Amino acid sequence: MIFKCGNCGGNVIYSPESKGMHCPFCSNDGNVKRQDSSGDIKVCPDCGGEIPLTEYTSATRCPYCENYLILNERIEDKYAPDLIIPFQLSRDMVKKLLRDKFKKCIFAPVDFLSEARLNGMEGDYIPFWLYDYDSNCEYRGEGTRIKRWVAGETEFTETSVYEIYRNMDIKYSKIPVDASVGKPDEIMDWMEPYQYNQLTAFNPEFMSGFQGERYNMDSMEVEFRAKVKMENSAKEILNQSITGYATVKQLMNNIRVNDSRTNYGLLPIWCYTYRYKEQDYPFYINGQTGKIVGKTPVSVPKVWTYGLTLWAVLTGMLGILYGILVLI
Amino acid sequence: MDQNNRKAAWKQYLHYFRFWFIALLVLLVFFGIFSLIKYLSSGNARGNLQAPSQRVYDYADVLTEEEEKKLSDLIAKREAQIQCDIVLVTINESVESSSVRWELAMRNYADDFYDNNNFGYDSVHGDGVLLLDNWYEGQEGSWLSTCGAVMRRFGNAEIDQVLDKVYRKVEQNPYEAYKEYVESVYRLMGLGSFAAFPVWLIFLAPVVVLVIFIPVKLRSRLGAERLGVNTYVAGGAPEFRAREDRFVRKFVTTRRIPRNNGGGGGGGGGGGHRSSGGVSHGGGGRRR
Repeated sequence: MIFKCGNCGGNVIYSPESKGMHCPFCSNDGNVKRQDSSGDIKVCPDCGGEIPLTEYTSATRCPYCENYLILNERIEDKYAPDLIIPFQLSRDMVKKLLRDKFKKCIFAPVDFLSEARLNGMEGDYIPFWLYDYDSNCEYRGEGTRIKRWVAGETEFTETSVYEIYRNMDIKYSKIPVDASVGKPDEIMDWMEPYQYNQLTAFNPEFMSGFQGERYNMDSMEVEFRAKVKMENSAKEILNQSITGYATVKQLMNNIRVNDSRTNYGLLPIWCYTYRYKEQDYPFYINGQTGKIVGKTPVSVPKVWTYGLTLWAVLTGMLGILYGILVLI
Repeated sequence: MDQNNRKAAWKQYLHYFRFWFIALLVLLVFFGIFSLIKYLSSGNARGNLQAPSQRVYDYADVLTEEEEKKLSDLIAKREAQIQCDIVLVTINESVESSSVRWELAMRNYADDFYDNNNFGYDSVHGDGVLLLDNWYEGQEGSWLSTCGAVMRRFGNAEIDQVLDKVYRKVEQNPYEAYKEYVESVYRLMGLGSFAAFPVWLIFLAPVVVLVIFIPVKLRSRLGAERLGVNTYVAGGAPEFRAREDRFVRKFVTTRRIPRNNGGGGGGGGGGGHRSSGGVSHGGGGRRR
């Protein structure tokens, strides 16, 4: 599938700024023609060039004609996403965001935030399973409260024992778990939270201009991660409801799932991979909220030059100050 | 490409340190102005012309003629720089008696010598210092008498510092020891209240700054914040069906408190004095 401009025939892409389809060649916003393609395409339907695809790729850019292609059979039928958060941040907005954030990282290599490097950034729709749980949490425990006072030379300690009982229903909505083999789970978790009020019904137009994947694993395979998130949250909520005790002993804690539903959604993430000294430094930016996850590389020569300069400048300043004070 | 990179690196470097470099430059200019003012206003004339020109009185005869000459030259030079008289007296006589302690006898000798010769750079009995060194067997030791600006500047710590410098060498090489005396008085008076400032701190303090600065700048992992527990809870809060905290029982334990008592201590102080001539002196000394 490829979206073409009805006026100039150029590749139309989704623009986060105008929140609609936009032709970068003739600035036409309305007249869009959709060209579908069927079957498993290996060559670009536009120019005939060979496209590098993994078995999961659902949207990519043709390396020859630079048009954005969407693979019909990977976004339809069983791979049809229920929901999507369209990219809210454009490439330029993310560039600015990264520059602001890492401005103070003076030990990062010189070209870390250079235009040329940042242009290699890709917007990626990552497949996520979104789990809803109607949970019930039943807890029983024994807590103690301690009171101390002194009379004369004797200290009295009064220990009161309480029986604690909690029974609560917690409705969880759309706990996200990524269904991409290639993306590190921990980092995908750090991309949270998303603003779900911008979650909308899937429309392939949102994918034009970006990379995309279909889910790599089905919802059963990764559900344990959602369960862990749910249980950790339930335990935390429970702990917050038990206050004022010096010690608490747990006697029973049952977390039950009464009902569950699963949705398949695509969530937007910008990926910037910076290569330095034979090593990749990946950065992930939430394409909706702008939250950044990543670790900047350290340029050792910069640490030395900046460190020594700072030392020399400070020593010089102190030395001159000392000189002035002695003269006075 | 490499050329571009180097240019970008320089640009970043200058941009980052621009305020530091400007501050350094401003300080340098200030320093230049101060040095100029100091240079132009130096050469304060001696205010007291009633004192003798001699400064080295070697009654104990521990210095050679040549050494006395060299010491006098050094003193003349240093006196002009710090605007204080620097006098050296060596004696070889018993000052102690059954009624007068060594310290008191030395003190009076030194103060009187200073007063009777009308020493003082700015005026008679003005700014100056005198070292009295006794070589008499059994009564070896020095007394440092201070007057005027030197008296105001020198506390016990400074006096001890000068005496320590003298004692370290005086037995082996009196000339070197007395030179030390002149130089340490010059150093202490010349630097004003900054004499005690340890110069190595100027080099070390920035190292401390770096030790804090570099690790802070190296910390660059972003985004690993924890989520709120209610992030995915519909409605933002759970629905409680039961929430009970029921009192069951209580019990009391007792413990005897061990008592302990504390105590404290005290200290003392010192001050200046007045010589027989009525001139206010400071000073201190001890046996070797």
